Amino acid sequence: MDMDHANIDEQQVAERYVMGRLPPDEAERFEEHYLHCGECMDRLEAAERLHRGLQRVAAEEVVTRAVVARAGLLAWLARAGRSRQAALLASLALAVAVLLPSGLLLREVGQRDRELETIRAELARRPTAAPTPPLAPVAPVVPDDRAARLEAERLEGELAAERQRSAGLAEDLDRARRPQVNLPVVPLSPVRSAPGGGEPPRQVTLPREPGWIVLSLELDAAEHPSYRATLLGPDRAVRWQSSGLEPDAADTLAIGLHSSQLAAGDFVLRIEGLPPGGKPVPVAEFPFRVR
Amino acid sequence: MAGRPEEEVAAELVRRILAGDTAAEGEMVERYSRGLLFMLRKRAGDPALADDLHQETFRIVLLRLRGEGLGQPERLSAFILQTAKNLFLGDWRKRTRRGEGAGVEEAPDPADPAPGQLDRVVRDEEAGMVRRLIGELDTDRDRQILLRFYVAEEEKERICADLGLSSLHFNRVLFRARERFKKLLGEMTGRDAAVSSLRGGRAAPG
Repeated sequence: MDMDHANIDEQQVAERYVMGRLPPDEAERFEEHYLHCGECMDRLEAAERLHRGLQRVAAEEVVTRAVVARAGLLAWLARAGRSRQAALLASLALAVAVLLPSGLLLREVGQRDRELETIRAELARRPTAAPTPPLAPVAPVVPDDRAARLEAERLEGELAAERQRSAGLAEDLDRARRPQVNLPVVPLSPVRSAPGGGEPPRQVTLPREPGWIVLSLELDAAEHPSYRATLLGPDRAVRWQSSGLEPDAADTLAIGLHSSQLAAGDFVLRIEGLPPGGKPVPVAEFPFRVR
Repeated sequence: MAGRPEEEVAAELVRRILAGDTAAEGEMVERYSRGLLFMLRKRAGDPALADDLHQETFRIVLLRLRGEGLGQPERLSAFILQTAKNLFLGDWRKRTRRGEGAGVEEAPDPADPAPGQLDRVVRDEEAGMVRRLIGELDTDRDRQILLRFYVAEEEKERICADLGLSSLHFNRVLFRARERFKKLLGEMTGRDAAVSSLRGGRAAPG
């Protein structure tokens, strides 16, 4: 990526940087550039504040919507004069339906409680977990008592369902926070030969109750400042990935995986080195069989 | 130094600092300070920690430049960045060992601490400007572009495909929004400066 200003604008480099969406090598090159570039600093500061402001406004709209639903404002609106009713509902509908599609609403609610969202994402990865239903779109303005009552009931129903989901997630969170005893620790060896040759992969037995399994990966020598780990499922799809991992003094990476991320089949943990400013370098693959 | 290539400016600064020119030290700090602080605040999340690391970075860089100089003086900005990142990582490791930081699996993520009172005022003003900006956009589609990109953090390609937009149109909307927002920020800064100056004038009459 060229660090000329036309390209920076065209590729939304400043915006993607403040949102943490630039690949690490591009982010590093951009940092080297903006360190001495006042023009790019102006871009960055504006992009950062615009990003923050938009998120804040979006979050406030979500809160407004929840308050409206809870306080039964719609019922009050039903009693208000028709012109006022139409104006208020129209502005609410515009804010919600135009500015904030339902996907955004869910996301913003999630951002208000990061911990909860982590658990929610965790649950969503489980094959048995039901997908979170999106909030239904706001109904068009119908200025009569019945429509307003129905709308209020629908919103209350959504709220109750959301509360129920939150309670379930809180229970999961509580369970995850309890001290864990006798965590299974599975040492894995790297495989460099062609697939199919050599020893069969290490067996990992899933615990009866959902819980954590620690995989201990021995690297030959820690040659890179940090590493990236990628968990590939039996279908070779990426199940999990994390960068910036640093081995301990014995050149070992210990990775805790929740059993809900695993299922019977052959998995591979791929480890790549992350040289400063360079592309990831393959280091080793650690196959294991889950049963 | 405006208009000259960075490599040339950097090499000259390194040479002058090595020769004991203290004015060059000030010029170096002035040139790189803003960007370095931005990078550190983004990484650390904690402004006080970022300020400390910022000072410490320049202290280490200056000691090195006064003593032995740089092997690649034209890459001064890369050296400053790497020094700052090493300091940040060192600090993060120390905190992690003491049980104050994140777990071993994840690299340090930028934190978002609860804002102070001044920050809250600034963020209120930002939100007000964003509302004004949204109100000024030409179409609902342009509003959706902003929200889907900045809030939902969707990829540009997906937004363009969904809304039937060209890449050029998308770029134009984002560019204009950011430029307009910069102008609104400028107006706010100018207004605040005028209020401060008025208050200062009243406070010290005659």
